[in-house]
Amino acid sequence: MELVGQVDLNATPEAIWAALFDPAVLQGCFPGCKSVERKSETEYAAVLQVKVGPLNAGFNGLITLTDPEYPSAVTLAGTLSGAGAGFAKGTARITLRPRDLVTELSYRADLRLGGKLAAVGDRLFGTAVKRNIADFLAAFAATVGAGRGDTAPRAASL
Amino acid sequence: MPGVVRVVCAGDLEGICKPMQVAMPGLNMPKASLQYPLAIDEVCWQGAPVAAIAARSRAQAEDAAEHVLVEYEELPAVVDAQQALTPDSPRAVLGREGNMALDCTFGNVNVAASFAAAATVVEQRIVFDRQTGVSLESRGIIATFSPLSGELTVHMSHQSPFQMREVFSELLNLPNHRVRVVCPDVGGAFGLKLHAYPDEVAVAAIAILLGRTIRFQADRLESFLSDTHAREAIGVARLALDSAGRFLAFDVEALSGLGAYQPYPRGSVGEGLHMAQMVGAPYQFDNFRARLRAVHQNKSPTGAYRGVGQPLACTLTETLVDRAARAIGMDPAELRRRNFLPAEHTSRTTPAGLEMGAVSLQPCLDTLLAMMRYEDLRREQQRLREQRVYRGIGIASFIEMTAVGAALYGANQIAVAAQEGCSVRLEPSGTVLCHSSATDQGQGVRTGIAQIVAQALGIGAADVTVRAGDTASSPVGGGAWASRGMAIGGQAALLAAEELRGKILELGARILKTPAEQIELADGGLRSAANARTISLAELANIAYFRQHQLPGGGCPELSATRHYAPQGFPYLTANGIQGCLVEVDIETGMIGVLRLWVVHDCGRVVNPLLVDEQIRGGVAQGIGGVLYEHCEYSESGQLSNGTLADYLVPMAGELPDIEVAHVASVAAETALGAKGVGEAGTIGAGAALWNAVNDALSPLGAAMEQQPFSPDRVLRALAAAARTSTSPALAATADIDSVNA
Repeated sequence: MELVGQVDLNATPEAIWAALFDPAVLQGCFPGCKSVERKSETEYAAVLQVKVGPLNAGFNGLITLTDPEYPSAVTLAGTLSGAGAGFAKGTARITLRPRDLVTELSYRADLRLGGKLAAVGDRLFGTAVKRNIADFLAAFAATVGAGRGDTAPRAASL
Repeated sequence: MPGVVRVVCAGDLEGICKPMQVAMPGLNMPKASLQYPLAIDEVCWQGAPVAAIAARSRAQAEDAAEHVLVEYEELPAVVDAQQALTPDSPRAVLGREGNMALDCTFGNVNVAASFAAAATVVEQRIVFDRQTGVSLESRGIIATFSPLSGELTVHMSHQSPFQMREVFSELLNLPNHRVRVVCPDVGGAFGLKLHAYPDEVAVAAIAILLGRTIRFQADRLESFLSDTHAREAIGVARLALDSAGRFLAFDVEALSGLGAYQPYPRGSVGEGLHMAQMVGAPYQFDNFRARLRAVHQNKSPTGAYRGVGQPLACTLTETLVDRAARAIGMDPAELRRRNFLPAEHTSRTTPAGLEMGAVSLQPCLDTLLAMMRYEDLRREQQRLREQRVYRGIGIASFIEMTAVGAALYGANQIAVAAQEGCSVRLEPSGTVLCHSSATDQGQGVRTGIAQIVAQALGIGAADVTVRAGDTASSPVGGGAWASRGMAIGGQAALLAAEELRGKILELGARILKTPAEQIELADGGLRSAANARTISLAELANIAYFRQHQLPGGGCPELSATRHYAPQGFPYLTANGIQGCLVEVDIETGMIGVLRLWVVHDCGRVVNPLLVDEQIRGGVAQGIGGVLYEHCEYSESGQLSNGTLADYLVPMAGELPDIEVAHVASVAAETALGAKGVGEAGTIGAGAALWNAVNDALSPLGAAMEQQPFSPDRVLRALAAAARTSTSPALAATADIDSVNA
C-alpha cells in the first residue's frame, strides 16, 4: 500500500523536527496511541490500539530512523506487530521544506501488511490508515502551530 | 487473564495427536509433508493455526490471543504456481525436494499423428483464479472427551461423519468405537467440509488434553483464511479437427496450484486430475494426451469444491470447441452435434481412459436449443450488433461423474465409505423411522429419501422421519460427496424399504389370512384383495411389538430392515447435460450482464423435481460467481488481501438471471431407483456457457477473455488489446484504456 501526501505546518522546520521526535507529542497526536518510548537516538517503541472493521487489536510498534538530514528529511522504517491480528511493515520518507511563512511536510510511505490485517483488505484498512494519518496530521499541525497539544489519546476507529 | 483456561501450543499436543500426512499409493506422488494441528517451527500459509486458547467465552479467548506474541523469521514465499515449478523457486514447505506434488500423463498419448493430419488445429489457454466455497454456515466443532469412559464425542459442521470418525480415531489414538461424530443439518458445505482441518483436529486434541468440552466456530475472516480454496489452475488445450469438422485428438497441459498442503485425508490433486482427464469428455475422438502438474505454494490449501475439476475441464473443452467453430465457420451448436458421443446404452472406455456409461447429449442439445429459441436469439444478436449492443450466446455440454464408488478412495487405502446405508423400522404409530448415512447439507436429501420410503410402503412422506449424520445411529456410509445422496443413498433406502415391505406383507398375510401377493399396501394400511379385510400399519405394529401372543403361529416379527448399496461393476454413474447462456457486455464499462441461463440435465430418475431444480440453480449461481466475481487475491508475499465479503465478491440475487431448467430423464440402468447425481451439475456447465457467451459477445471486436474472473478492468484490457491490433473504428475509443488503468 502506497501513501503519499503533504501538509503545510505553521512552524519552522527546526521546530517541526523537534516535535516529530518528541515522544509526548507523538503519543498525543497519533489516534489510539497508548505510549511512545524513545529507546535510543534512532529507535522508538510504541503501543497502539487499532480498530479496523472486524479487527480491534493492540499493536506493538518499533520505528527506526535512518538517513536523517537535519532539519529537512528523514526516513522511518518500522514494524507493527499485533499478535494474532497480523503485522504491518513499511518505510516512510518525510521531508520538510520551508515555503513563505510555513513549512511543507510531505511524506511518501510504503506499507506491507500481513496476517488478518492483510486479509481485512485495502478497502477497510486503507481507508482506516488514511483517516489515521489525516487525524495525526491535523493534531500535529495544531500542536506545532500552537505550541500546545491535546494529550488525551483517541481511539483510532472507522 | 479472566476466563482463560489454557494456552496450547504444538508441544502440548505431542503424544496426544499425530500429524496428518496425505498418501495415495495409487498415484506416483512424492511423499507429502507432515501437517500438524498447530504449527511446529514453520508456518507455510496465512491461516495455519499456531496456538490455541481455551477460554470460557470467545471474547475472552480473543482478548487473550492479543497477548500471544509469535516471532517470525520471514522466509521467501512462492505464491505463483508457475514460479513454483522453476528449479530456483523458494520451497513452499521446508524440507521438500521441490514444490511438485504430482506430475502425471493420461491417455493413449499418441496425439502427434492426429495433429499432423489435422485440417484445423485450435488452441485455448485459460487461467482460473482461486475461489472458495463461502458456505453460509462457517466450519464449527464441539468436542467432548470423557476421561471416565475414554469416549470422544464430536459435533461438527461436516459432510462425512464416518470419515471423521476414522480420522479422529487414527490421529488421536482412540479405537473407532470410542469416537462418535455427529453432523446434523449442515448449512452449506460445497466440498470444503470434506476435509480434516488442523484447527478442528486441534479442538478434539485439546478436549482430550483438558478432559472437557471445547468449541470452535470460525468467523468469516477465519473462514476466508482457513477454509480450503479451489480452482487455481492454468490449462492449455489443443484440438485437432478433420476437414468435415470431426474431432481427432485433444492435447492438454494443466497446472494446478495446491497451496501449502493437501488436506487430509482425501488430498486435493482431484481437481487437477479431473481438469486434465475430462477435457473432451462429451465427444468422440481418437487420441488423447494430457499432462497434469500440481504444485505447492504458500497459500491456503486447496480442496474439494462443487464439481472438483470438472468445471475447469468443461470450460477448457467448451471454449476450445467454440474456438474451433469460429475457425471453420460452423455454428457452435452444429459442431457439437457432429461430435457428441452417441447415446449407446453400453459403457465404454474413452481414449482419455474414462469409463463412461450411457449418455444423452443429443436429446439434451435438442431440448436446449428449443428452450432457448436458439435461431431467434442468433437473429436478435445480429440485429443488436448493428446498434452496437454486444450480446453473446454460449452453450456448454458436460459429462459429470456422480455417485463415485470405492475405486477412488478405497483403492488408495483412504478410509472413506463409498457405500450408503439405510435402516427403516415401522413404529408403533404406523409411521416409519429411517436412519440414512446420506447427510443433509441443505440439498434436501432427507426429503427425497422420505419420498422413496413412503412410496414403497404406501404411506405419506410426512409419515417417514429421516435421521442422519450420527455415527452412533446411522448405517455406515459416505455422507455427502460426489453427488451421491439420491443415486446411492436413495437406492439404499429403496432396498431397505422394499425389504421392510416384504416383512410387513408377510406378517399381514398371517393376520389377514390372505396370501401376501393378494395384499395391497396403501394409505397407511393393508387390505386383502381376497377377503376385503384390512389392518392399519399402526395396528400391525402394535401386534408385532406388544401383543405377539395374538399372532397366529406365534414368533417375534422383525419390522425393520437395513440395506446398503455401493456402486459395483461401474466406477460412477455418468450424468450429463448442457447449458446455454445469454449475456450482454457493456464495452464502455466492461460490465457483463447475464440475461438468461438455460439448463438441460439428465440425472436419470428425478425423485423430487423442486429439489433437483433448485440444486441446479444454486450450482449455476456458483458457476457464475467463479467466472464473474470470485477471487481469493494474494499479495506477492502470500498474504490473502480480500478476506471479507466486502472485498470478496459473490453473486447476489440482483446479478443472477432467471435460470430455466429442463430434464432428459434416462433412467440409470445400473440401479433399481435409476437416479444419477445432480448436485454439481449447475456449477460444472454454467461457467463454460458463460465463458462462451462473453467471448461470443466480444468476437466482433476481436477480443477474447483468457482469465477468470472477468472483472470489468480485465474486460476493458481485453478490448484494449484487441483494439491495438485491429483497425476497427468501433474499438478506437477503447484503445487508451490500458494507460488509464495502468
